[in-house]
Amino acid sequence: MSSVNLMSKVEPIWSRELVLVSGKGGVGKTTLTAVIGQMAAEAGRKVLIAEVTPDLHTTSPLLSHFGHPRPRSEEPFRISGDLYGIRIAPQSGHRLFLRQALKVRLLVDAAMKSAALTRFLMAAPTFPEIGVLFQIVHLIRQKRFDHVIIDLPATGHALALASLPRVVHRVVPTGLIGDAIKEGLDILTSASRCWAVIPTLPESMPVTETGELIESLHECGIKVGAVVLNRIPNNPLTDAERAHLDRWSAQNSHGRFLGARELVRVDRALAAQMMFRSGLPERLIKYEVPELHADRDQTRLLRFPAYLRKPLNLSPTDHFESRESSPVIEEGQA
Amino acid sequence: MKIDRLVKEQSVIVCCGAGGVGKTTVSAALALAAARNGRKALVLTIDPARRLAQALGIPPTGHEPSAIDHELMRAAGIDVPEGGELHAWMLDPASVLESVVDRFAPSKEAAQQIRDTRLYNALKEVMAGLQEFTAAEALYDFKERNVYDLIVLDTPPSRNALDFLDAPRRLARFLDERTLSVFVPQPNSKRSAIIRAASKVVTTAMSKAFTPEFVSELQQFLSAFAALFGKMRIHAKGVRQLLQSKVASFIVITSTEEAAFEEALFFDRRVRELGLKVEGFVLNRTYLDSKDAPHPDELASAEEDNGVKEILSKLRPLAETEIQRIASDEALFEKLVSVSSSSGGDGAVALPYLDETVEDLEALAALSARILKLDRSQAC
Repeated sequence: MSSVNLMSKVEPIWSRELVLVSGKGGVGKTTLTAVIGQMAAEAGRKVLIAEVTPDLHTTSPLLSHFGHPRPRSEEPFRISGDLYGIRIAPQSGHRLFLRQALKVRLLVDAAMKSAALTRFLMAAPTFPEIGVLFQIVHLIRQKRFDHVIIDLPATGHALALASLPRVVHRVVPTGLIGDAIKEGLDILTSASRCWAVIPTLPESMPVTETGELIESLHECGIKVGAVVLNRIPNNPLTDAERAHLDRWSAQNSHGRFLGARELVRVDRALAAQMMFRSGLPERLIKYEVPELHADRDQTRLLRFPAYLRKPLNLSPTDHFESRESSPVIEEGQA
Repeated sequence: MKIDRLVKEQSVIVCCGAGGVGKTTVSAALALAAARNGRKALVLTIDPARRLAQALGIPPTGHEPSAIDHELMRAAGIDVPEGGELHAWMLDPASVLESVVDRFAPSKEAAQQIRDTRLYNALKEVMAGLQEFTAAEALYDFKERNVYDLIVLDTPPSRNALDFLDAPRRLARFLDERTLSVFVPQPNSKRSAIIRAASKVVTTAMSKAFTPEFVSELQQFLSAFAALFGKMRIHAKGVRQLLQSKVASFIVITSTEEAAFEEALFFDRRVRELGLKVEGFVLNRTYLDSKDAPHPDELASAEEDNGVKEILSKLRPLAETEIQRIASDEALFEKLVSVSSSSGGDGAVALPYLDETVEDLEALAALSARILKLDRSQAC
């Protein structure tokens, strides 16, 4: 492989130490995180997929994909091969920094048992986010993984996490927390170490909001690597057929027939797809994934990766080479 | 669920649900319906649908609610009787915090003292975690001032919305003197030995974690804020009482998406755990009104044009998708009705998937008219 060739290749979607999967609820963040993690691991990388949760006692949507709905460990655990998983909760972050601050474990446990302290840490605005950030920094520092891929909560939260370091850093410039936050800020804003991946849906509002999120993240100094247009419905008609159908419909009084509503959805998706292709910044790597109807989640996970190997911006010959064979591409296109 | 009655008689409606289920739109439609019934209605939203807001003429940030112009409404064919008004406000956490400080500080100087701390300014800047306090506070404030006949609160997306319900309690806990006394310096005589010991551990931990300067600044900040705490605590209780009272109703809104639906059920449980009652569910974006629609094959059999026949045959997979959707939507709807009735709620209503996104007043008016026609546990 010549270096010229390398330049023309698009980097795989996981190509940063820290990959933040961010976007609104219900757009497929969790599935995307699972798929990216699995793809990277299959490509021979050591990967940690992480889910941010306010509460470790609830079921994990991300890790349920891999048969670990309620992992007991607060540490990274092996899912299979080079793929690891973890849940990140504010409390574990708080315990972690107390442990580093106090050194004496007994004292830490005593402190965390102090209702006053835990209440304060959870109730005071931004403290939960600091706990999460502290843990992310801790995971990156350890250098145990080639990639840490994080399924972040809803949009507001991702931005909160992103804009937090600056503010806190101004108030607490030094000390254990200040240093960790400075380090977190450095990682988050380093284009070579971290990028965000944003999934969205083929409707006008989600695509518009994705544009806004990209701008806000940019203002926070966070690079957006890729955008993924998810669940694009299949259009069974050519433009000519569609025009013919519409003319016929206008002349008949059959009312709404079964399938008409799906056609409306197809129309909306086509319009949104145009916005996605031409309205979002050119420099982003763009992927499009069709609606994958599957009886079981597992099948969907198997078919999904094929679409993340084919960025839109490139002609088919430019696709990056994967170390694994990809027999599912044909099936996925069918 | 008798939405009709809620709109005409209730004074607070809290709309909850996952992000992207149409919560804001339904909230606005409910408030509009109240205005059309001659009531003065306010819709408070945190997660605004931008274009809808633009269509209504609501500024993106404002220090107070703005009234929707009656001329605008008339132009959209909406008649609002005497006394009917529609107001909307996109909650701005920073300005709500400002007003809390202004209203509660014992003096102008004290308010200024709080505003001068670096921490306060950082707090204002970081919106994370503030939205929920803001929603609770704004709701209480408007209710207290008794300006509106109906307030519809569009809560932040689901997980945060749980925080919203918990916000008064969390705030009350945060403001608990026993918690604070650990952080705020007080004369030693006032403190018990346990508090003194806890305080020592906490101060050591915090000093090492944040530097001693920051900790002393935090203590200053909390001392300055302490004057406000008593009053804020009363508010926290007030919000809770308000939400528990008969004048407030919770509605859980969901789409037919699996994730949103799960959130809705989870939400229903959580609301009840918090000792509050869910009035009912709104299942949004259903295909239920297509139940009696003809299949393209039927249309094709009566058609002579072969071209049309062929095109209609290509629509079979889409028709099949819709048939499946209708069946699964029915199952979801039944599930909501049974969940609601088993927990003492008032059932569920279903709304159709609309061909157009609701982005102007006409569409909003059409939606609100549709909602009003729904009766108990009725689809579309």
